[in-house]
Amino acid sequence: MEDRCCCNGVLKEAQEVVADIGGTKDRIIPLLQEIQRRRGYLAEDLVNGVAEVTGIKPAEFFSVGTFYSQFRFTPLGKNIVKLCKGTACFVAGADSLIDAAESHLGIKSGETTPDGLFTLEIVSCLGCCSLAPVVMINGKVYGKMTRARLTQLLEEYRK
Amino acid sequence: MKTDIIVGLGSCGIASGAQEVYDFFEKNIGSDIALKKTSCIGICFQEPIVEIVIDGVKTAFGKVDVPFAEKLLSGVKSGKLPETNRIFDDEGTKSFVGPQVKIALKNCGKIDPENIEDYIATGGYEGIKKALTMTGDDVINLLKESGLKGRGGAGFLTGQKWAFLKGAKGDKKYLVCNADEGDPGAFMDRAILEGDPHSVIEGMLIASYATGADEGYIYCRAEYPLALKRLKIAIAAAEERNLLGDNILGTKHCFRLHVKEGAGAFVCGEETALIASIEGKRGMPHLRPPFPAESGVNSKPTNINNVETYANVPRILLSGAASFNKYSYGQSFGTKVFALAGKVKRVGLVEVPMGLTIREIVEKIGGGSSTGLPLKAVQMGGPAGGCIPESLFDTPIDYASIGATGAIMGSGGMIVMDSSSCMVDVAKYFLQFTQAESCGKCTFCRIGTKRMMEILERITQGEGTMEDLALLEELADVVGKSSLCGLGQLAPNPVKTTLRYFRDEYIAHIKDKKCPAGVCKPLITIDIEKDKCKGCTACSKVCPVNAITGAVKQPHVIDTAKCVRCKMCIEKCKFGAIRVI
Amino acid sequence: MNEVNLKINGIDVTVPAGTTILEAARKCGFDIPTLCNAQGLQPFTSCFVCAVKVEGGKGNFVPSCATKVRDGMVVTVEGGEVDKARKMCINLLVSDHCGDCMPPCQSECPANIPIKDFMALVAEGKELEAADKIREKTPFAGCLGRICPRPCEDQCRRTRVEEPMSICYMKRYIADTEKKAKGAPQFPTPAASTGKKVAIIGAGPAGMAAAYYLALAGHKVTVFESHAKSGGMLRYGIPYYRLPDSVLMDEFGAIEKLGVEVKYNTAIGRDIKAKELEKDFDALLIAAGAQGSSSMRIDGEKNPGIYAGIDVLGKVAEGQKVDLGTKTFIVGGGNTAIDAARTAVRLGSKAIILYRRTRAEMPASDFEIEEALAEGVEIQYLTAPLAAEKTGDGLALKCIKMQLGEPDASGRRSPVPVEGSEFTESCTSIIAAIGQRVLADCFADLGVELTKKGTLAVDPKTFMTTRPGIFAAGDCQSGADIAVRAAAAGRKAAYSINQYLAGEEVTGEPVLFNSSMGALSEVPESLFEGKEKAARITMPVIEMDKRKSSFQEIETGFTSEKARKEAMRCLKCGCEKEKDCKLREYATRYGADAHLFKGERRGYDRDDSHDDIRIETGKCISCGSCVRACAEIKGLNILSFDGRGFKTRMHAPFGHSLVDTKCDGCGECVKVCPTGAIMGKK
Repeated sequence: MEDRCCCNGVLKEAQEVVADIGGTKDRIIPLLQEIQRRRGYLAEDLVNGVAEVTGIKPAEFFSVGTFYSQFRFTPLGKNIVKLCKGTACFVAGADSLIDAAESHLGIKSGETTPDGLFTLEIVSCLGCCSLAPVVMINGKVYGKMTRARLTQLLEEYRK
Repeated sequence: MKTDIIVGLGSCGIASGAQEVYDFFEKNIGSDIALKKTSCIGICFQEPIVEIVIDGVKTAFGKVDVPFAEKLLSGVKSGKLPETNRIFDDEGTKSFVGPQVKIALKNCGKIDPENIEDYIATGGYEGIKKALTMTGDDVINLLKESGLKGRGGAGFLTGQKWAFLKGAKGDKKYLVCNADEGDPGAFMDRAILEGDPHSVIEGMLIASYATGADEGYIYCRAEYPLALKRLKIAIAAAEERNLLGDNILGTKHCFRLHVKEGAGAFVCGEETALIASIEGKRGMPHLRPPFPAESGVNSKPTNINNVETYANVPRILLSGAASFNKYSYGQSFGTKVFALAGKVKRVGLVEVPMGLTIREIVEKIGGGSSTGLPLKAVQMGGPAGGCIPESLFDTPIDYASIGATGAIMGSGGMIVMDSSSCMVDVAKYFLQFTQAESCGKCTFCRIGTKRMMEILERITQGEGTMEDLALLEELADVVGKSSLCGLGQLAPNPVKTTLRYFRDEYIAHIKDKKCPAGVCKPLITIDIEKDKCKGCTACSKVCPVNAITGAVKQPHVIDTAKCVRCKMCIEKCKFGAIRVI
Repeated sequence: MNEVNLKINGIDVTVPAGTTILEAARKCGFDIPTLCNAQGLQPFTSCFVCAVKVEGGKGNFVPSCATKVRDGMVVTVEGGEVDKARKMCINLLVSDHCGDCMPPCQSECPANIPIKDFMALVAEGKELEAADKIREKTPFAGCLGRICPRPCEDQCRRTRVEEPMSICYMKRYIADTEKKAKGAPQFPTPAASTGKKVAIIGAGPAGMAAAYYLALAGHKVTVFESHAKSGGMLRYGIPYYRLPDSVLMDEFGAIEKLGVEVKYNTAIGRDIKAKELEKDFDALLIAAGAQGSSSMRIDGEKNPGIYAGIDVLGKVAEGQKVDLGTKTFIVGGGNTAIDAARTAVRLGSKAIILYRRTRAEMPASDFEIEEALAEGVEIQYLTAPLAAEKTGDGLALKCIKMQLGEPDASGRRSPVPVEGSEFTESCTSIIAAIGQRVLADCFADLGVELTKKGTLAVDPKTFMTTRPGIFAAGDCQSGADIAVRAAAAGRKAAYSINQYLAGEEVTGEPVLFNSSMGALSEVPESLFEGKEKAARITMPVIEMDKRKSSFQEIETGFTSEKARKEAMRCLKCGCEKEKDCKLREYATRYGADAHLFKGERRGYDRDDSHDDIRIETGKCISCGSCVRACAEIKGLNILSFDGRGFKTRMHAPFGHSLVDTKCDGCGECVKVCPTGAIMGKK
């Protein structure tokens, strides 16, 4: 096969990434994190570029990238809605919130709305158990959430 | 007159609005008052918390919002602080704090975690200085004498673990701090990293001196951005003061410390998986032996402890083994931090001496049921742990005693459940979690937990059979015995303990097609009691599927076929007319 | 090197330090199964079928492939809870395994005839070898190839492309070709005589199939047959226009030439007591069929002019004259009813079938119903007889109309009489073809137990009755059923009898574990991508006027040219690794059940892009050997893990096809794959 990376622009970006992070195998996770930071997801061209620069095979990046839940292979929505399903939130009714968010946005968790506005994720614990149930939108934590407040909140982010 | 205003800026404080309060002070405080930040003090139910220190006299206020912050500021300026919201005058807070003993959490909520001077002022880095005057073996013996056991769950004697590393052959050795706190419902490590990161660094530093390791990693989950930020600040500050790096404090000892940001995999809490992840691989565990003490990071001898374990170490060095092991029960010594959450009045981070009973934690510290419903169980140890029924609440906090119930001490998650929790649903919840986090390497965990979960799904949907139950028990046994790592071996625990203590609930789901707690949707019906309904229409308005009909001031009815059992109507009804049957 | 002493299943073993438990156990003869432990790779400990129990500690099981021996170790490597855990492990693996071991036609065939294999031989023009292939499972290719209701074709995957393969008639073609070339079936040479004597009651498909395999094994077989000729229901239940006498003579007669002695016109109970056979022989097989007819349970059933279906067919087969008159009602909806109706047509009568349900519920084969209709047979659905009365010149049959009610135990909707819909029709004769039953009284002196249905009770694996040494197979054991099942049962009973005579434990013919992708309708469309349509061969038939007026065989058989072309339509379903798949071997050894777990299962997925290598992810058990071989042996890292947990898959990264990678087709991955998930293309 032909190398899929290949225009110079991508190669240059890959070189920057490797220069910043390092190019040894123990840096695979930070390299992927950097690629995702730059592109919002693990773009194949940049992964292949980094593979070429480092000499680490694309399959090794792919193996690692698909293992960890932090990594995505498709672009994210504009607003990242993380619904906590930690134990405390679960006991406090997180399922009902997940239900509400999914039906309100019309997507399942893990998906992005067709208009690219929202990505819905279920996370295991945000560590804010005292405020259960908790929702995090774009890094901001909202505690003691109810179905009504959540749908209202989502509408605010839509604007 | 010297006045400090200290705002608690832990994750949960921030989530409760502490940042807005901090921002308000910053804008309006003027130059004569010092604004400081601290982290979580553990009294989460009072967040956001603000402390006012006037000439060394502290007054703490809870549930501070911006309007109250205005009052506080004018109080400071007029010399007359408000009488309300003083948390330590509050009886609840008193009984919350009373039974606790703070060793690991000593500094949390008291110092500015981003300022190394604050840490040093409380005796910080005196532990390593003392250690440097001792031999490595003496340090290890001191640790052994203290009786400190690994606080991550397994409870292995820390001093012994260090001795293994010290005795391992090889010139290159690693230390790892497991800060990949993945148990849902647990935030002990986050609180320590956010509130007192230097205690962890110093603990590792002492370990490195005792064992001869010269490089270390703190493996912290990416979901804790604040902890990561504060760790990095702390490491930079320590390096600047030659507390990390080469020839520490003028000695021959060298120790370089790195932060590794996890990428989201619960299984990396497992030693061998964590090492694979540090090496840049998929976080798949491998068979032990070889243990990390022989072959760990880069196949070099490695010691792994968790955050709370390391945080205890400087205090033991500084105050001696006796100050630690005077708290004891059986073979458990010192204190244990718990994240108390769920259906209790007061939730938060608590540190209790070994031997305190679950009942004391739940009823005294936590204040008992927050819902008025009777408490049913406590879940300890997260997905690897189990549910301890109310009848066993007198079990003391002790590795052996907790283990005897079928649960585990675990890393410190403690979730209190009342009668509105369905124990089959709870078991399913934990299994769903572990199943989703299985690395997929070994058959029993990859497919076995999946099949267990599917059986639980059938049971909670009213489609389970007694044959299913028998198969579930057989699987629970064999998955526990035959999985490669702790994740799979302990995954059946929530099922095993709920079957042990709440078997009747399983039977009710299977034979009677009933969910006694009224949780499992396919097995419940929502009903309006005609006599109690006033016809206020609140329920019909809130119903998302228009299943409720009725004229104003007339009793309403629910169309069971349409009803999706979301229970929003129950929340809305002011007259208690809607119930689950 | 240091030596280590340990105990494996109670046996003291001394091995060099550094040995794994697996290696040590192999040394003393224990065959511990393993799937992920491949030669040339580091132990990976993913499959866990090699797990063993080491005494002490937590009592957990450890993977023996990677656990090193220690001095004083006490290990259990098989038996008891170790086997139980191993079985569960394999049950879990097969619950997430999507592929066919056997082709569905073969697994559906009661005799498990290797259809794919004989098709391939026909396609190459090797009909004689194909005949041998079929004889591995049945000596009746010519008979079954004419009359089998062909359950195999119902599951033929080719149906999803256009039409099923013509499997049934291909057997006939093979048998006919052999007959033409060699004059008779070419049986293998029997083994040397064992000196053991076996008595078989009944010379039908079950009895004679058993006689064939027992004779080949070197036993002296004597068959007791109440009729004048062999063939059983194949002869006396199926008209000659479907299965000619000559074909029966060829195939059944050839078995006699193997040295099997058939005592004709010898009925048990009448001419000889069953008990005596038991005394005179080393083993006894009862294959007496289901010779009794079920009653219609209507008034006037005993009137002259009312017959049982199999009696009419039997008399015609024996060449006796049967006069049905001009109008015959046939009651029933099975194949016997159809055969009786078509026979009535040939005897010059108008034939009307009365069936109490509708065509959809009719148990007779669809194509036979069509043939009957073509020959002028009429069918009145939703009609049941109530009473028959003798009239001056014939019979008056009183009937009632029915309607379909709730489904019964068999899942078919049961007919309910429509009140007031009675009507009466006149006729010259009535044939009751509503079922057969076993006449078991003559075996009472053997003391063998019967089932509630009145059939002989046997162990379903061994076909042995409740009396050791006495076996039963065919309709007398199963109740009236199709011939191929009887023939298969005869073969399986022969296997058990062989074991019994050799003094071995009687376990029955081994049944290999079989994984299936699912029913025809559930198989994914992707399996058929790129398959060109090719019409199914048609069977030439004689002219209609000859059909209606004589018992001449209707179907005339395939030409070689057309048959070979048809054989090429075969999709060659089933797994290429059917015979050396480790997963199947262990699943068979530990008695795994592919259906123990309901729930999510991986789908079928195939990467056929590469010239040398085919990946079928559905068959993958996620052991990781291929990924490791590609990385550790070749250093290529073409294959990648994808995802984690239950959904982990192994293939090229980023969803690419293998052909779009740098794969050089070296085949290291193929060598280490324990299943058929990665195969080299020959």
